[in-house]
Amino acid sequence: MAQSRLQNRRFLGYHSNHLIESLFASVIPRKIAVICLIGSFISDHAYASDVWFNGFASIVMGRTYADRNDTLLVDYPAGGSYESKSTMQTETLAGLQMLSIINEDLNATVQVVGRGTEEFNASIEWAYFTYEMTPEWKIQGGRKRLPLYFYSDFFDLGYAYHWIRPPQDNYTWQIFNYNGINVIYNTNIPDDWVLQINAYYGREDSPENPFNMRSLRPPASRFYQSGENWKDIFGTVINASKGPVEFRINHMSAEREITEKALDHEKKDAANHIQFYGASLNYDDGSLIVLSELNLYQEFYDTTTGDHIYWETWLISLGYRINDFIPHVTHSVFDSEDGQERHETLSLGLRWDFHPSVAFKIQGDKTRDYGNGSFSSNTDLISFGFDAVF
Amino acid sequence: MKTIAYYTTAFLFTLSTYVYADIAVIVHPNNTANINASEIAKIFLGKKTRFDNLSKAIPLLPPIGNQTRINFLKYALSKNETQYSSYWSRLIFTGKASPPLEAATEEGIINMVSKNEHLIGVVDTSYINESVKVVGTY
Repeated sequence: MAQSRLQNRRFLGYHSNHLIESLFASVIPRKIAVICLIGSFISDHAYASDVWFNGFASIVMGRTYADRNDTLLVDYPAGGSYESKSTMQTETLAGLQMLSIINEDLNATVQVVGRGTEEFNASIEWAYFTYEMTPEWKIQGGRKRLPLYFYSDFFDLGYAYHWIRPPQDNYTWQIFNYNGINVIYNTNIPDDWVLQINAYYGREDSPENPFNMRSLRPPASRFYQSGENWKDIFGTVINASKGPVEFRINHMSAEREITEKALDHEKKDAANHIQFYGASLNYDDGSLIVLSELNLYQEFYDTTTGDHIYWETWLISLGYRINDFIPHVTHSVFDSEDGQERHETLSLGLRWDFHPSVAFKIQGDKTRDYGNGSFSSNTDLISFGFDAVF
Repeated sequence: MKTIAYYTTAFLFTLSTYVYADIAVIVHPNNTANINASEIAKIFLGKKTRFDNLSKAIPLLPPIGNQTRINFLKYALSKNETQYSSYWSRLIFTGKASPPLEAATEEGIINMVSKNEHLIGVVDTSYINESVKVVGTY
């Protein structure tokens, strides 16, 4: 039975347009795409061109409860916030990823994401090729997520974590993706540890940066634009895991430039050198979940004197898996040296895996802002929703 | 009478042990790679993509909900279906690894593994025949 389906697929695979076939495969069960892929591996034309679709979606609703200043920014990269009126626009999103296997060693990935904050205009967030040079070395080129934080890579993928969102006190930077190259070294070290090292280089220009336009400098006119460019981004990520333990450290440096464009003026700030350091230690033995993260961001105003200010962020989260439920509690903090931006959040939540690929989540957040500037607010937020992968 | 009850119980226990140790991990008979329980776990978690002879390793599982699959995830990887798909979603959507293949039936897995030296499959031991090689049981 399986064999005849397989042969059938192989037949189709050779004689029909792969893309059309794969579009069908994305709508109908994934198994068909899977069998199609096996078909190509098994056939004499092993590794013939194949396309594979996967998707994810989050539907989230939330509102704030506060006396005043009731806007709470929860998605810094996309500029998504909640107010005292229920909305589904802030964090609802859907993504579709296409993996195209060109041959045994080369594949291409494109990820398209539509967000409620951007009126669901689908945009290409990731687009890169991966070339496997040796079993241990891979090189990727194109557009990828900037891996500053532990959850940066799967920030949009609610299904991959127990929160509604990675804590907004930590995941705060304006630049989220980059264009460049990434080299990956994967190896198994003694005592069953698995080690992965990434080194990347690239840049990102965000001429109409959502965070800057929203928070940094309020628009002077409707033609106002505030851009954010990070040049010469160079970073490394070292990830080691064994059984329930995962350890990650990373570093990034870049030249940060802020641009301003309004009806009557255009301005480009001199680039400042920035440095980012991160460390996280996670544990998940199937029952107990412990997540921790500590990050330091430095911006140098004068590289010769070393004058700089810094921002610290950290979080700790505890969860416990009871059958299909994960109750969890999280504390996250943002602290700037100059006292301008200081806020922290205490979150309580529940994830319920009622289906193998869909989770229901509900979460309450208590955010307190101690900063001199007003980046966040003293607000309570209730949000709930569904996360799915398909 | 007591003795019979004792032996019957003992027999049932033995039987139940067999009932649980009924999952086989299989490869093509020509696959000479060294494959132990730790390697099997790494391959099905995407942490290794090659056998120790450097030939590409492609994991192949029965579909979601299949009892052999559920037991394999539990005994070999200490994960349930949800944890496994959550784990893989991280790898898939960050381009770190391609997901394990799935076949509709366990007969299909035997058939595919017997024809492809890259595959490493999971089946109930009752499906095993001479066309595949067993490298681990659970």
